[in-house]
Amino acid sequence: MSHDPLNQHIDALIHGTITEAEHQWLQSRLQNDAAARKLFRERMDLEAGLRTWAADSDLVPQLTARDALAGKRGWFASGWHIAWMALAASILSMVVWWTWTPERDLPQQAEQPAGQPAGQPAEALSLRPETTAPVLGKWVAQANGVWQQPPALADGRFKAGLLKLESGAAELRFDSGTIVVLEGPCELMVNTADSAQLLAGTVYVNVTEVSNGFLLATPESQIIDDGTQYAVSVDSETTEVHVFDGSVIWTSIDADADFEDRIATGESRRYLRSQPGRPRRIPFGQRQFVKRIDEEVRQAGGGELLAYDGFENLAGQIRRDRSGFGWSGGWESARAGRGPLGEVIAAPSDVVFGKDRSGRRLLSLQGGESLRRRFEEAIESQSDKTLFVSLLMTRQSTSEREGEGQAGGIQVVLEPESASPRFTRRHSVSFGVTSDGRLFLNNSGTIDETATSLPIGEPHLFVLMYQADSNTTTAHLRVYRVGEPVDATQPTVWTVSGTPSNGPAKFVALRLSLGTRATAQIDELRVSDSWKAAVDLAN
Amino acid sequence: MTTRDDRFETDDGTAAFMAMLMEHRHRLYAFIAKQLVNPADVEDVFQKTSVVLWKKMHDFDTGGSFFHWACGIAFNEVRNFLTVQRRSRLHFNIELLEMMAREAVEEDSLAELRLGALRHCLRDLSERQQTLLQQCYAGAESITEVAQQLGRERTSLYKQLARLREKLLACIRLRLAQEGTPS
Repeated sequence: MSHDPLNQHIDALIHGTITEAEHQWLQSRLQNDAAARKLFRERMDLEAGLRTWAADSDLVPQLTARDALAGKRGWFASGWHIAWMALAASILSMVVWWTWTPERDLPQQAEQPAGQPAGQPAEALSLRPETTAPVLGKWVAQANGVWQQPPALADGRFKAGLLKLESGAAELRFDSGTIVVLEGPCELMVNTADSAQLLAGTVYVNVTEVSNGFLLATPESQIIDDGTQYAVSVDSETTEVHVFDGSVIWTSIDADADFEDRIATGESRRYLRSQPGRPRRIPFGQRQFVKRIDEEVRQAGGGELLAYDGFENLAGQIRRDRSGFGWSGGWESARAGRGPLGEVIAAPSDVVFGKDRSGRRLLSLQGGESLRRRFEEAIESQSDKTLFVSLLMTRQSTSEREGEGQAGGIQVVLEPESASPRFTRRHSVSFGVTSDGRLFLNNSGTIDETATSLPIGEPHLFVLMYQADSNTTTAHLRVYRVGEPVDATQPTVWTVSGTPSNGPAKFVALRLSLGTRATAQIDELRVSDSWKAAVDLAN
Repeated sequence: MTTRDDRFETDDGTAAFMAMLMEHRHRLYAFIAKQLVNPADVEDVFQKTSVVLWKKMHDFDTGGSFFHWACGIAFNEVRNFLTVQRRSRLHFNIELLEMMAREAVEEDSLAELRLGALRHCLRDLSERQQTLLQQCYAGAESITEVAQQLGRERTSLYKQLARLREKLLACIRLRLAQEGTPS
């Protein structure tokens, strides 16, 4: 063993036995001595190498059902290391989950178990006798799901009871707002609209923001959500919990085991059934991680969608970066970082501009609210690159009072980068509705308006076109009413044609602002560099 | 011509991403380990980084270095982790972390060679020695817990591990020297 203090302190750091004084000494030495840092790097390469080597060597027995999934994909059959096959299979699971668009893909199978012949009438697939169990939600069938015991159904909605999924996957959308995805092989006892017991296999639980919570029991524990997305795997000896967003509280069902464990975003735990009060971390290479993102919309956009928010944000508030893509973080108040941020509510069960909003959500904004979301990277318009901003906006009733001139206005604002609020305000590009309902377009201080008013209570599709060349910027606004055909290509006639200006070419954020007496509903916010990606709401 | 988006909008895009993540996984783990040291912390950040990389795979410029891009994201995750989650454990200050992250990226090829040499050196160990290392490094248990499971004195196990590490480091240095790489 080395008796050199540097090596000794590095050892103590690795073993977690270092004292604060030793840590300070080590930090100071590393900061001031390049040779010490080189030694530290060499030592940490050894430690990391041993961890990954040992984890890889240890993983062989871990592969079970995931092998089958891996075998279905050609690219998987290469010689990659077995440990990472498990991880890759998990990513494939993610792909499977987010590419499920049951309403689009498999409407005819909505009431029949996957694995059965597709053309067989649903009645012939009456899988279990009708029970008097309560109906708890919507079952979303999947093409690759093979059931040993499917859910009892009534009009496509599932009832309480035991479910056994042999392979593939299935999704349960509880009326309580929670979504549970089963990955076969899996046994789940559905108890109520907000509770279930996982007997074996893996489930992914998404406690959406409209849910009052969900309690998932396992053979030795209860897992209570705290606004979250998480996955749980149960086998004969262990339970694994992986939290992707939010946190969960794990409690033992053993009344004598006074133990509670909070697991936060990114963390995972393994609990041995024999020692439920003693969580284990899950070593490198043995974790499965699953996360749904808005990949479906991104893919439909063909790479032309630069930013998107459908406000389908999960289990929380829009402040947290949970919905959409192309953004850097979540929505923030534009009023010096303080103030309300609207409310995500259920969208009406309608189809507008080809978008079926049943079961979807939207953003409801009330008087005076102003919120901003920064783009992940600045978006730029050039002579050969046109920017489009589109959204569904429903202007709600306003109670205009005398003397509150701008109080009913609704603005959608593209903001350039600047430390000066005055510069930002003067060089922003915005569009929206004035207090008296007229449409307006503000191209960096040059304002154009329509003479007619926008009806209240109807959703409209707004599309801004913006282009910057070396000297001038051009902006146009097209607004469509429900029922009006949307142009397949960029139109030549606009609702508001803006006067050319000399605005910015680059924008870093988008802001939504309402006057104090205005209320509005916002949905399907898109920023793109193609007309099609801006208006093709069906995908 | 296949553009970046074309490549990543397909199943093959996912496969391409997975291939790169798998190719660089050990080096990325080592990069994070050099900043956080504690295995549980390293694994948490490694997992988060993997998810973020995957979420951002469309942003990756396929003409650039995947590892360097991944290190940038991993370093952000390290910073987030230290800010939000682990105030209780002793960690290096941000200036030192930035310095070590920068040097780790600069020394990337050497780190890769070390990892390769380590795999060879491990094969030279006896089966008993390999098993011991697996018991100490594969699981979630501390050295003290492993010692208890093996019915051994904690100090004795520490000493044996230290000897094995010294032997492996010497072997790695020798192999690199033989290959003409200064360690």
